Amino acid sequence: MGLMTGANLVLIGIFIPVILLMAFTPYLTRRTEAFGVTVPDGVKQQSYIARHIKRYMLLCLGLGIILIAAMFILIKPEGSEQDHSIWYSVIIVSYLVLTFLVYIVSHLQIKAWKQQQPWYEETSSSQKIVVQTGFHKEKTTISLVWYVPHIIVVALAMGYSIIHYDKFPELLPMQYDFNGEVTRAVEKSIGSVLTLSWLSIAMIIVFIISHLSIARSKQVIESQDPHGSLQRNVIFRYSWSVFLAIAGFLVVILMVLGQLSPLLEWSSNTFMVIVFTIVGIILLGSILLSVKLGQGGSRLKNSDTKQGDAAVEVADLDQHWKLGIFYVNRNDPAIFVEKRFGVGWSINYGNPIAWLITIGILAIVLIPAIFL
Amino acid sequence: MLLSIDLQSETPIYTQIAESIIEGIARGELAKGEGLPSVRALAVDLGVNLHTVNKAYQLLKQEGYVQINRKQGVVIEPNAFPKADELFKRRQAERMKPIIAEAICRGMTQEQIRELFYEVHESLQPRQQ
Repeated sequence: MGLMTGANLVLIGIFIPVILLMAFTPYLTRRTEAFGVTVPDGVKQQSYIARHIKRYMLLCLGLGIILIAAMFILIKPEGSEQDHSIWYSVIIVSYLVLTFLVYIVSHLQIKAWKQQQPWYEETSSSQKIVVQTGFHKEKTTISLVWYVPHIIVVALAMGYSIIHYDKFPELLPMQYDFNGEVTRAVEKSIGSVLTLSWLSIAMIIVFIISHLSIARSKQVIESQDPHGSLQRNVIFRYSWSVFLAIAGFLVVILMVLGQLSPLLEWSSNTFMVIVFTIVGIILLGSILLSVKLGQGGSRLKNSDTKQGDAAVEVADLDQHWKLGIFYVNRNDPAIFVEKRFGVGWSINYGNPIAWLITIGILAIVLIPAIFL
Repeated sequence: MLLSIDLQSETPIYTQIAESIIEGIARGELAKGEGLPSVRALAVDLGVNLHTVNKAYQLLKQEGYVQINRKQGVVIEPNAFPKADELFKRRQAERMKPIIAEAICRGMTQEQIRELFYEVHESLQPRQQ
């Protein structure tokens, strides 16, 4: 194991699935979206776009292999923890920037190509917007009541920690490295004993906001199959809201165990195993859902395909999707929208409330990370 | 029902929303007492201002097609819609005037105009399952 740090092994375990997911993203997006550009149903299979998809996939995988090789070469086990984190950041950021550039090239080329297609005139001239009035009566998410257990667990952990305050050691471990060794510790106080409880509460807030983004995001109707696309979308939203509640619960459990770890007398190894199991479950779960459902539910097969469901004309909204990634529409009161390239939801950058929520989430996540 | 608006049309959006909902009622796609999306939800889905949707709902309420309750939100009038009384008929006649006038200018006969009316009426009948 001389050449490999434990951290490398773990990170590779995380990177490989993430790289694969990135490479296969064009297959997960809606049938009507190609690199952030709206195209008619069926066009995505045509050779021009198929070539772009293949190129993007191969470049993502190739860059991914370089990324992993770079980690082996540049990150030496004898280097300091700080060196390691700098190298990891540099490698990961360059990977993200490079794959983004690969995406942008395809996005711009397909956007230009679209304007020369025979179907362009009729699709682009339409400014029609179609919505299903009954959509919000469907059960698109689970109830928020499912987040009550999360809150109860945190409350119990806080109560238990305060009651057993004197059993905590005088120096509390605050940071671990990948091998489970303590790298930073602080003096004991009520505040520091409950650090992870505060963090749990912050995480629960982030999960609830994400839940609301699923419930509130704009409906998307595919012009060729209005009824079916919405049916698939209900399953898509519901499944992700279930996953989110479970993932949130696991994260809370992890933090609570972390807070109580000085009392549990578990070996650092046991604890690392639990951390990686939970991270693994969340990672695998999200990959499984992404692949099985596709963006917006587009990879689902409808059980009751009502054929003869009339196609409708729908505006492509391309002019509001900057680079095919950022939805900017000042006239739209929507805060949350479904992503075009990728799986999940994003915000309407034209809406000040959306900015406030994003800044709020960043503050919730970053402030504890900086000050605790 | 599928509610459709056209951002390029000269007809104001709130009018389009209201007319689309009345069409849905005529076709039987919206049942009496059926709930409509909240102002916010419909505005978000359509990508239009909240006031626009609110105006459409107020218009529908004025005409007696929906009820706006605090609890259930906006629902299609559960009881009878207002009768087509003399006043209503006179107003409709007034609204038809420019439509028929235009048709006459273009040389349509009464028979042809009548046919067109039948056609539109037919298209607003409940769809057969």
